[in-house]
Amino acid sequence: MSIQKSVGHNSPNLYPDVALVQQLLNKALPTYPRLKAAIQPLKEDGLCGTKTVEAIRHFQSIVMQFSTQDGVVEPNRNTWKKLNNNSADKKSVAAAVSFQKPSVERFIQWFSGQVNSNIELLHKEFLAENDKALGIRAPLSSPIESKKINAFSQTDKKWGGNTLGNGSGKGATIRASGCALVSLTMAATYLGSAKSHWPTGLKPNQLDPVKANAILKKAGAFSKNSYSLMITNGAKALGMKGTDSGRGGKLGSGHIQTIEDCLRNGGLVMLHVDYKGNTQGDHWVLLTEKTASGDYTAIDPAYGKEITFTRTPSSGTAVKSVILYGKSQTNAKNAGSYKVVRFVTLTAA
Amino acid sequence: MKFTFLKSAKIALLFSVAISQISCAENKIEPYFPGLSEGTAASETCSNYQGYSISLIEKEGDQQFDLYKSNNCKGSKTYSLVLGIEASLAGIWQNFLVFDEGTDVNGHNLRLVSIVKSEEVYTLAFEGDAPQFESKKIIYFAPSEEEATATQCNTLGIDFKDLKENSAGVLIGHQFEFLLETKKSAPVKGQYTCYVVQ
Repeated sequence: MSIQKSVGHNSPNLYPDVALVQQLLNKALPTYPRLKAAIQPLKEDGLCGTKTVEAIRHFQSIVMQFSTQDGVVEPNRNTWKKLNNNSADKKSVAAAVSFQKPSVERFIQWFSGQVNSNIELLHKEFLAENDKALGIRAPLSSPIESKKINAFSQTDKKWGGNTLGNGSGKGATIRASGCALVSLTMAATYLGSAKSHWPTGLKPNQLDPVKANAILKKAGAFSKNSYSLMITNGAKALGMKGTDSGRGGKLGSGHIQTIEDCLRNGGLVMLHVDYKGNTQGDHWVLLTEKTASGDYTAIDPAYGKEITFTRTPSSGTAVKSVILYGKSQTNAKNAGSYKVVRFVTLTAA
Repeated sequence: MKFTFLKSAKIALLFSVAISQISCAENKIEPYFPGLSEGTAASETCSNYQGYSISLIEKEGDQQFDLYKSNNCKGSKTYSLVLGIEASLAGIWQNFLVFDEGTDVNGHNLRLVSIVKSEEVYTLAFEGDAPQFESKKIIYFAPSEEEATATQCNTLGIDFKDLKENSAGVLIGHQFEFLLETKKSAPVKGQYTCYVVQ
């Protein structure tokens, strides 16, 4: 029994790893009455939120007696060893195995998905190389090209240091806090249309984060004296219709259906993702299409690059909850920790 | 003749002082958070804070920060660390490099990395107002999942109705103090703020 990557605060929090840590933490409760008094049993849902991080911290404080608790369980490090060891007595192993069976199955499903997608990727690369050698031009399959979306990075020096909305101070820059603005801008280059606050003659495909920031300020889409963007109002000001799924809900198969319907009908979806173990969401990205392999393509404004999302379970409409998470890639390292907590569908107004 | 020469020299001197002040002002880096010291930009990729210089190299979606005990990012490196794209160097506070980590309006972290003990790292999640740095402590508001009420926000002079109407929710941030002496954070009883979820 092991975890692949770290679980807890600021960690990759892979679904099967989180589920396993949650199970082991729950299992530790009867052994440690002080721990039981300090935390509520965790929902073993594979989602690492504040309750799971707090439970890890309590485990480190009460059971391990660490003076500093980082709230992280790392593979093969002390917290993991103690957690794992706690459930390793003979009597409890059988119970633990049967208890974890659904999770193991989910892990195998997830792992097969990873292997298959890697094989697919290698196959695609091979075909592309082969075509290149034969002088065949690659089809315009990238959503950036096929949907004519301009990709921007919020860290771009051209606008990264610009003040966002009505904010003040260094934290209120496009670089530090402008992922929603940049995602909305990218969407408007494809779906948008000129509205009353647009400069005369400006076309949607000429928009960039500086111009969009100015339009949204004029349109009153930022809160008073703040850089908090009202996303659906912002969408309207840029000539789109935005529908917010709302905060605090869990993604269900109905939500996935809404997302896929929107993409199929030519719309785009802004995804609010959590990558720091904060269930409220820490970052926005722009979902552009569903691929033939069943994954989803998005543009990440932190990098100005395409990333891939996948879902678990990989199919099915009878499931109550679905997790949509980002896949790791070398040039967009945070993507591997993304977990969708909310979304806004965007269509042309 | 002598008088004219002296007068010209004086004007030239004043002019050069004025120019140096302008160029100094141009290089100044305003404090990132209240209470942090200001810095100066030695070049596009090198900034100076409190006798140290820090260079920044971006590579493959990450950022490498190198610390030097000089004012031009030259000489031997005192310390080097690689952080994600979401990190912004905020300055130096009491032997800690301070970074603001975040890309969204919500979900920012303050990362403190000890200059003297490289393994000593503290991460403080904050929301709402910018963290306030004092000589022996950092005051900040930690996020919660607690929904704010009109009474709670209005008591602070914060317009709850406006926040509620113009956001995806209004939550309570509890005030904490990170103490330099203990290197631990503790809540400040009864102190809170209202913050919006974008």
